[in-house]
Amino acid sequence: MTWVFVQSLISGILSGGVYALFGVGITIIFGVMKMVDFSACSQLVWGMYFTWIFYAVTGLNCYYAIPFVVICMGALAFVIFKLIVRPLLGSNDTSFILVTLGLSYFLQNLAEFVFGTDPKTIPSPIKTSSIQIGEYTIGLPRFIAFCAMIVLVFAVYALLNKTTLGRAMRATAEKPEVAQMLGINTKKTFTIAFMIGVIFAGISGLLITPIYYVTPTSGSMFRTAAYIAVIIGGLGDIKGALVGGIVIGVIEGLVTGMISNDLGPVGIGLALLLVLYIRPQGFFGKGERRA
Amino acid sequence: MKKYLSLKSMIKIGLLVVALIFPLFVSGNYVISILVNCLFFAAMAECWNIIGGYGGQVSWCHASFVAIGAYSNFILSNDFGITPFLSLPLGIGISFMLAAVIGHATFRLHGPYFSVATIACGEAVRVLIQYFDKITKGAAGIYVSYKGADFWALTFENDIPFYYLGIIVLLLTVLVTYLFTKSKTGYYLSAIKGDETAAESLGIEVFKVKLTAFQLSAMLSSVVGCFYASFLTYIAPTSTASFDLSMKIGVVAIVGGVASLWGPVVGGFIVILLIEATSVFFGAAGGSQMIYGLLLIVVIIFKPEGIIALFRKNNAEDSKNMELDKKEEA
Repeated sequence: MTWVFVQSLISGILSGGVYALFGVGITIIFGVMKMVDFSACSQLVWGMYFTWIFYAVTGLNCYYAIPFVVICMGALAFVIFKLIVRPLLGSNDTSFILVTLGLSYFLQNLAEFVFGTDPKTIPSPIKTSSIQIGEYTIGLPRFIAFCAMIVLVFAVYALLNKTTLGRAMRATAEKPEVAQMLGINTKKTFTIAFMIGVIFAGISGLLITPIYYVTPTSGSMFRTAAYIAVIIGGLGDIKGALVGGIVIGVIEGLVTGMISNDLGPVGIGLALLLVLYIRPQGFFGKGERRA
Repeated sequence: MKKYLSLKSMIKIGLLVVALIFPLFVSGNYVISILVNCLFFAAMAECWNIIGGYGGQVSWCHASFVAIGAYSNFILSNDFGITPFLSLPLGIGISFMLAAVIGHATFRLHGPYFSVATIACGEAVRVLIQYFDKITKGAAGIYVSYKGADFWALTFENDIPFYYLGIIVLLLTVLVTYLFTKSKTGYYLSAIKGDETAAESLGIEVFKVKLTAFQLSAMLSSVVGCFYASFLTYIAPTSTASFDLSMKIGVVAIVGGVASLWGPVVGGFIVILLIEATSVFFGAAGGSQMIYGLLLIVVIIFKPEGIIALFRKNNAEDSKNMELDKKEEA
């Protein structure tokens, strides 16, 4: 029993790392634009497919695909921003929720239309290898994903706090009108924030290709778990996304490991309701509560 | 004014008469079954409209309520031989409670919380249906046991009775929505949609009003789901409780026109017929499903009021005045 508990805990923390990485992408977009990007889970699917295309062409390991995926996702984000997000800047958040969900559905089914429904895999020796610590096993791909998440989160933290661009982004997040008056190009800041968010979703997709099959519906587990992670951590807070992601990963790991393999979404759904009852603004939220 | 209204209602009555005699001129089940789909989707979208349109709270778990109605119908009629009409209270009761749980957690907050919670809840309901496979047959789904044409069991030889049933269900949802919008709570809700803080400062209990609207919408959805299941004759978690269905319900309502009485009805016919037409060219998976997403994006960017707004250009002034009236009354 203890073995099952500790093993579930470890795998929960590790898969929580991917939720955290994905959640940080959503958080950056929300932090700057005050809008939740519901299409991120389909952008993740496209990240997976870009990785697969790279593998199919070059035959290289998926981690070599990082520059390619970053460029492709950046281009995708730019197109999405110009066509869909920009006309909606300044409108209410309901229409943004609707548009990004429509986009999510569109991108997912576009993937299905282009690549078909049969699952694709990217074979590599890393896929099955693992690290053994005592009697517990850590899957190597999950471990790499977790480390990559830590590195990227620190990079974002440094970007926001140490660079001029980061200061401009934080100023825009604080009050766009004032930022514009101070000479910050807010449109450009929005574009960059959106691109970073989408690239994070794509990288999350790349990192999970050794773990999951590449199918158009692979993103659906992120549609619930990762968004709940962002909410319980406190919307718009990077620390919150990190902690929330790991908490949700652990809850999901424990529920699937100790109760039933199918009940993961129920566990995290209950966790969401519980957190919203007790602390509606999330762990690190600054209390945007308005009742 | 009076004359104009009567012309409008005459058009409506004319359309209803055409709809009622339409099956007499059609041979073959295919056209009828598509129309039944349109009717039921219009009805589901009308339910969605109560909270999503009039309330401005975007819900993505209406498929769960449909599934609750559908499963309570099939489980009671297959295992206990109870007529679907008596399974309605069960579905309504469960939907009422589920809506209360979601609403209590999220309606005190402002922003995307409600949408995220409904997505999560929809997923949880689907998983629970799969998990309790002793009762629900899990992912395999349930077939209705056909014992010949029988009105009380809602099993018929062809889809024409379902066509009339669909019209009745749709008119029922339209009627309930109409009565709701003309009720005190309905006016409160539209005031909340206009400006939540202002509405609250006028003494409206925002939380309670939103919750009531959501519960009404949920209960009505499960009624539609109950009859829709009998039409489908086979239900499975992926077909009735999935995010895809919630998405389609929302898209039908939004494309037709949110916060308008006949918008979802227009949306039901336009969207479902469009999807049927495109699936002939692109195949049922992927290609034609893209249209839902594309429609949603295009409508929100270019015509947020929905397609129905194209039909009533000249009384835009009217609706503006009406909205002002509503606000004053609230």
